[in-house]
Parts: sequence; structure tokens; C-alpha cells
Amino acid sequence: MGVISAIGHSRAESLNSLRTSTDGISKLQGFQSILADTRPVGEVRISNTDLSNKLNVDANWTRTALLGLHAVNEAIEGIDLNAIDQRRIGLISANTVGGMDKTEGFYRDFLQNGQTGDIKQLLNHPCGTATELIANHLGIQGFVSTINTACSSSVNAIMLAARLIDAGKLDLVIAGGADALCCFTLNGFNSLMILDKEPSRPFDANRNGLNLGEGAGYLVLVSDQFLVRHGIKSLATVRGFANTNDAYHQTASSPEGRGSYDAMSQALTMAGLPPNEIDYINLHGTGTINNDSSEGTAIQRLFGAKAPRLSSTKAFTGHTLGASGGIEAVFSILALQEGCVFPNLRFENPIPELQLIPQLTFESGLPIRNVMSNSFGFGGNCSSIIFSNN
Amino acid sequence: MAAYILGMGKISPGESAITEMGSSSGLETRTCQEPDYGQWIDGKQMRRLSRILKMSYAAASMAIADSKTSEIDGVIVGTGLGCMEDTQSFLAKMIEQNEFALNPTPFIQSTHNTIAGTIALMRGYRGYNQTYTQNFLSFEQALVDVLMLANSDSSKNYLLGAADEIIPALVLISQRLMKEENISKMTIGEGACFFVLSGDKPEGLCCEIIDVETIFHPKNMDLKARLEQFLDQCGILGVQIELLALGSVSTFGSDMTLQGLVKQVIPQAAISHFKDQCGEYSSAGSYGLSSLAEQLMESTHRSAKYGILINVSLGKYYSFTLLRSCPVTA
Repeated sequence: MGVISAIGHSRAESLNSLRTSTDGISKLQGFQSILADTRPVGEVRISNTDLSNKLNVDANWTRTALLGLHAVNEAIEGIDLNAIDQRRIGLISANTVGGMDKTEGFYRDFLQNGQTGDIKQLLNHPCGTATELIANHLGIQGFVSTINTACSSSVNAIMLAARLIDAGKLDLVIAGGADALCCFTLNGFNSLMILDKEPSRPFDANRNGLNLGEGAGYLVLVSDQFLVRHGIKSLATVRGFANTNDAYHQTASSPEGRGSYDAMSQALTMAGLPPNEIDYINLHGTGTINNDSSEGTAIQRLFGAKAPRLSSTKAFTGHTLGASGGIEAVFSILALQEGCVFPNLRFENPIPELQLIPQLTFESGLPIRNVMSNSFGFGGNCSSIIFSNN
Repeated sequence: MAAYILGMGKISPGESAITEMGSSSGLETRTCQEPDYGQWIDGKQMRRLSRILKMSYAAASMAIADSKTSEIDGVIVGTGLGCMEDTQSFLAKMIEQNEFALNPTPFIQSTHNTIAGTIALMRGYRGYNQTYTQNFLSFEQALVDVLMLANSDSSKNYLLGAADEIIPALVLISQRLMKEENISKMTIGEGACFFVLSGDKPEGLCCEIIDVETIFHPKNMDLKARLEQFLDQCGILGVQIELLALGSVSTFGSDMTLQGLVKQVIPQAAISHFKDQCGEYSSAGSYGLSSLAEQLMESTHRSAKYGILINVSLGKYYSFTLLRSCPVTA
């Protein structure tokens, strides 16, 4: 697995930040916006030029593709893709903004005069193209696919990978997601009035919105037979998952969190686990009034009075949209590997109607066997996935 | 791996919608003949929804009505460029208003999953909901998903669809790209095509989707070999196939070569070029599937008839979809 976000450019750096409660939320530097001073973000502190040089790719790559390849490279370290039948390899990468960072530049000129604007800046606009750039670079010629279900996108990518392997269609799939910060999404979330002017406080009574972030996270998934054939051990098992729809409102979740409840309970059913076997929940926990109360209500309904340890790592990374499910999948597996849980930063008071107290400090040496990770998005999309120790 | 088509609905370009965009550019557009949406969408939604959302919702409603089923257990959509009208609208306002006082509605409706999300919201579908956006493979990948779903639970019904829209900026950008790449003629299209599919065979004459494969292969793919492998996996011979819906456009040169290669594998089939009607667009394969299924369903004889949809775009996106008509058995 591989990860890059505001709290580190690798698994090791991320774990260190999580262990030391070092968040990555700060003032926007990567591009100009009137919101830069007032809306803190979780930005990856490396420029596009440095990224493309480091990755040895063309300078016209979009930031989403650059962040994606960076994390994919870490995920496939030590795996010889050439030793596997090319048609049996997949890359399923989610994103929501595609090449919007470059499109914005083109469009500023184009809007003035339809014959102006550097059209090359536009060619990598489609979401699918970010995935193609990475696939081409790695020489992947099997199943190359992109999912965009807003903020639940990359959990859906991991689910699809697991299903394709289970159906015998592919042997190895790199699955996750990437998204770059851009002016478009920053303004979009600001127009919805759900950006906190301070670092976000997920699941706190006084939470006041989310911070946007950027990054990428990927897992390499293979079948049991593949493990046996190659004599290798896996880091964790994808044990259960579900994708449902809240069908309540275009952006808001239903008060009772019916979509998230369905996703979590169906994932448990698929995993064959009772709720009390879940040792840690990596929350969607954006820090908006609506999400946290809806997600919390669904958790209390499903898990009863004794909820598992839970925290939102978005207080560290910001909400990385299409990348969040991939990044948080990596964090969830780190929790399994290290027997640890991550703090829910900046929590002070529980949401009055819920009384859910998230994990307050980094704790290790715990028997973490099953971790649930939630990702919900606009359009009512709700996904939940369970990773287990072998 | 198979699913049966229970219903279809589409909003697509008609003959009268062909527009030449200026005599010199060589660009033609095929825009949709749109119905009165009032029968499916109320006044409040009508003002709120963009054109692609209205087209999608109407086509989905037609497919559901045609299927005569009341239960839909999942909504799976493919779109190459997503909701461009809303994306562009928010982007333009952001620039023009220097990031001040922006209306969130176009932003909310700009994400690709708004199509599947709106259908779920307006019809109360709380099951599986998924959106694929792999350029010219977007629809066929949604179909890959549905075939897997139908295979694992054949009793359920899935709404599969695709939509892409032409906006004025796309026309302008296409013209500029043609000039830069020295392309003399191009036809771009749009549409929304939806299907209700199930793993359980319905009674009466129906159409079965046997399998689908999508390939992203930037250069020098051995099309003949890959097509033969696909048919082999499906357990049928090229000579058995009677209908071929070929989605290639001569714009990019290799059309005749492509047709020649395909003919070597599938020698007997009658060829139809569905992009002559719908134009080229990211999810045009959905139009190809619906027209091929219609052709197969017209067959009245008592034995099964095979048809294949071969969709090729820009010389790097390939998909094969194998269909069979299932005649009424005595």
C-alpha cells in the first residue's frame, strides 16, 4: 500500500504524524485564491515541478495524476508487474476533480476569447485520463478504470477491485484514489458554507465545517491463490463492504443516517461479523454539522451503547474527497498492523444528542483485529468497508 | 456471466438534429431530440436540473416503464465527461465573480455521480449506486459491473445507463483540436441511454448480454487476437455472429483497416455503423447497445441469433459486447 497526504509522503511518515498528533492543516500556498487566508487546508507540500521531476514524468501531468503515481509507486514497491500476465492486472483509481487544476488556467483565457487558452492544458481534464496517465506510465494494459462517486469514490474502487478478483477476472489490482486541491472545489465547498475557518473539529459539539485536503492512497489487492502461488503474505484482508444510497438530499445526509447505517450493517453482514467484533472505526467524520450527527446517529443505532473506538483522521489530513477512502484504507491497515488507533484531534465536547466520545490519544499495543472505514458523499453515496487481520 | 435486458429507454439524436457547425470547420454535431420532460419531471425540478440530468432521468424512467418492474436494486451509470453544463457554469462564475457570492447549485450538480444520485433521490432507490468515468469506456465498464452483480444475485434488477452532453464550449474546443491535429471531418454526439437488466431470464422474446470486455491500449494492439480471445472465452465462433454494430469513426484514419480486421474474425455479420446516427461521444457504446438489442429483438425466427457490439475510439479505447436474442421456446 502507498499513501501521500498533508501528513506525509509515505506510510512511515504518515504513521509518525498520526503517532505524534501532528496535523497537516495550514494556510493554502499552492495556488491563488481569495479564500487562501481564511480557509485552512491539508496541502501536500511539494510542487508539481518537484513531483514530476521526482517521478520522471512529463510536466503537463495534472496534480491529481502526480499525487496518484507517487502513492502507487509506494504501493507496488517490490512487486514485479512484468512477472504477471499483463491482461490480468488492473488499475482502478478514483478521483473527483480530474485535471481541473489545469483546466482553470485554460478557462481563464478561454472565457475572454474562445480562440485563446493553451489547449494542451485541457487535454488531461477528464477524470479517467488521470488513471490512464498512471496506467501508461506503469505499462498496465489490463483493466483500467475510474470511479467518481464524489467523496466515497475510492472505497468503491477498492470494492470493485475485490469483486473483480473474486470473480476470477483479475489477479492483481492496484486500487484507491487521488485528488488534488484546486480553486474549483475550494470555492464549491465554500459556496455550500461548510468550510471551517479554523482547523476542523470532527465529532465535536462545536464543529463548524470541514477543511479540504489533497493526496492519494492505494492498496494492492490479490487473490488467495495468488498469495499461495507467489509464496507471499498479505498485510490484511478485505472482509466485507457495501455501497448504498441515502436517497434523501443531493448534498445532505438524512438525520438518522439511513444510508450510512445500511452501508455499515451490510458490510458487517458480508464480513460475517457481529458489531462488537469491530475494534476501530475510521470515521467519514468530515466535521460538518450534518455529516457527523448523521453518521454518529447511525453508529449508535448499529453499535448500541458500546461503540468501538473511533476517530476521524480528516482532522489530520483535511477532507481529500476522491482520495479519502484510499488514504483512510491505508490508515486502517496501519491500525491493524501496528495494533494502534489514531486520535481524533481537537475534540472537546461530545455532540449533545449522541454522547459519542472518539479516541482522544494515539494508543498502541492493542488487539486490533477488524477495522471499519466509512466514506460518504454527495449524491447520497455511502460506502463502508471492513479490513481484518489475517 | 450474463444478464437479460428487461427494458430500454433513450434520448438520442435524430436525423433532423444534424447540424454542420460552419462550412469550413468540418465539424458536425448530433444533438438530442428532446421530448417534453413534463411527463417525468415536475416544475420545480425542471428549473433545477441541467439538460444532462433531465435527459438521464427521462431515459431512465422510460427504461423502467418498459421493463414493467417496480423494484430497482442498483443504479450504475457511465459518463465520460459528466455534468459539463454545471461544471462550466460554476467555473465561469467563479472566474467572472472573482470567487465572490457563488451559487452552490451548479457545483453540487457538477460531479459525475449527480446522474446516478439524482435518479436514486427522485425515485427513492437506496441500493447500490455507482458511477464510472473512463473516457470512451465509461459505459462498458458500468456494464462489466452489472454483469458481475447479476451473476452474484440473479433475482435483482439493475438500472444501467450512460449519458454525455454537448455544450457550446465543447464544440468550440473540438473545432480548435481538429485544426491543431489536422482533422478534416468529425461528428460529435450526445445522448442518454438506459437499460433495466436482470440475471433472471424473463418470459418471452428477450435479449441476453453474454459478456463484455473493455481494453485501454494506447498503441499497436492486436485487435484480431484480442477479439478472437474474447469470443473463445464466450465459447462461440466468429461465423456464428450475424449482426455487428461497429462503433468506429473514420475521422481518425484507420476505419477501413479496422473493419477489415473485424471481418476476418466475424465474416458473416451484417454491419451497422451506429455512430452515423449518434455521433462520437464518450458513452456512445450505450446507443450502440440499444440499437443492436433492438435489431436482435426484431428477429422472429426460432433459433438464437448472435450480435456483437465493437466500440473503438481514438485508436486506444476498445470494447467488445456479445449479445444473443433468446427466442420464445415452445
